[in-house]
Amino acid sequence: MKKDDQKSVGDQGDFVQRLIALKRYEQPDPHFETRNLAALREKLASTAPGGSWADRWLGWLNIGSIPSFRMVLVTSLLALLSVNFLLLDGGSRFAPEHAPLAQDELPATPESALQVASTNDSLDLYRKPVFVFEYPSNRQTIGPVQMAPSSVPVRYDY
Amino acid sequence: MVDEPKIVDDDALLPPDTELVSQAKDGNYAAYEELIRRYQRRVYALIYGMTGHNQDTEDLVQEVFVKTYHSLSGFKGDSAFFTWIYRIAVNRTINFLKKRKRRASDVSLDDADQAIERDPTFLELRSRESPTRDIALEELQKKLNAALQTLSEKHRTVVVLHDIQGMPHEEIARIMDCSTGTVRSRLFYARQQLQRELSEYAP
Repeated sequence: MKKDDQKSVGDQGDFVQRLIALKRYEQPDPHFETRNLAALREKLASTAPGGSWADRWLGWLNIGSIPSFRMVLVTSLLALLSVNFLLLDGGSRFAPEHAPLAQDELPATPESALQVASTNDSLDLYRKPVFVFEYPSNRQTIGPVQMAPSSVPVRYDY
Repeated sequence: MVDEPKIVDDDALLPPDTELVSQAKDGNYAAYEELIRRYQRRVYALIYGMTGHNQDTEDLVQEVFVKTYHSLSGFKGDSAFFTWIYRIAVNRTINFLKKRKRRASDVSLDDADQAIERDPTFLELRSRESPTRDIALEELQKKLNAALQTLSEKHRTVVVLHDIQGMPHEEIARIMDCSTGTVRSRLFYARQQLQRELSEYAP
């Protein structure tokens, strides 16, 4: 009984296949080929195969017309751009706002100069412009006053 | 069983596809036109089977040949030209169908060739119908088309390539960029669904 059932299902599957195959008798109208050739001739005859460099580039992108190839290419490009963006923006994004400076990162300045600039040891010293008021007493040090990188000297020499 | 159409022309006088492709790449439009002549009906049949709409099919056939022409420089000949153009046609049509969802029931069918009247399957159907209700060809066409449209794009493509165009599993796998196991599996499930849709014609 089971074998008969299986055979029946198999026969029906075969019949469905033969039924669908009847669609191969459906044909376009007799003028299709001429019409199609004429339309394509009009569209293509004036351009060389491969067309412009943009067409060639797109053709290369579409190797074998496999969409996954394009997908991989576009994904890689986006990933590259994202990494680039993160690296560019990374300084301010990842560094802690008030991370203590390592001892060897501090500028080798005399203690007096540091006191002139500010008593604040935080990293902000190197970020924001610091106005340093130069009094005569400040300039008594040997050589120019050493200041943090973004300091702006303000003189009162009237 | 379905008669498998021959993929390569037997006529030895005709130049092979590779030669025509090479000439077309060098700017010989006549060579490309020969390729169009060679494949336009097959490409039409493939797309028509997938869309069930003859005007959409004509537009897509033109798009495929335009696209192929502009991509000729990228064709390295790793696969047959036939496989390549079929792959472009399948991808193009699947993309089109995804956008066309709204018109799934809107069909515009081609006329069936008179030869269908002598097909054993059609004769079998006719012999089973009652004398008062002769099988209407147009009605059968519509039902076959409606049944095909119930399948997903990929399942429909496999059915069209195998059951209508008589293509072997291996060739379909190459065209659809998948394994032969996937092709067999899709064919199996597609036929199960078609069997349900077309149960009224079952023996």
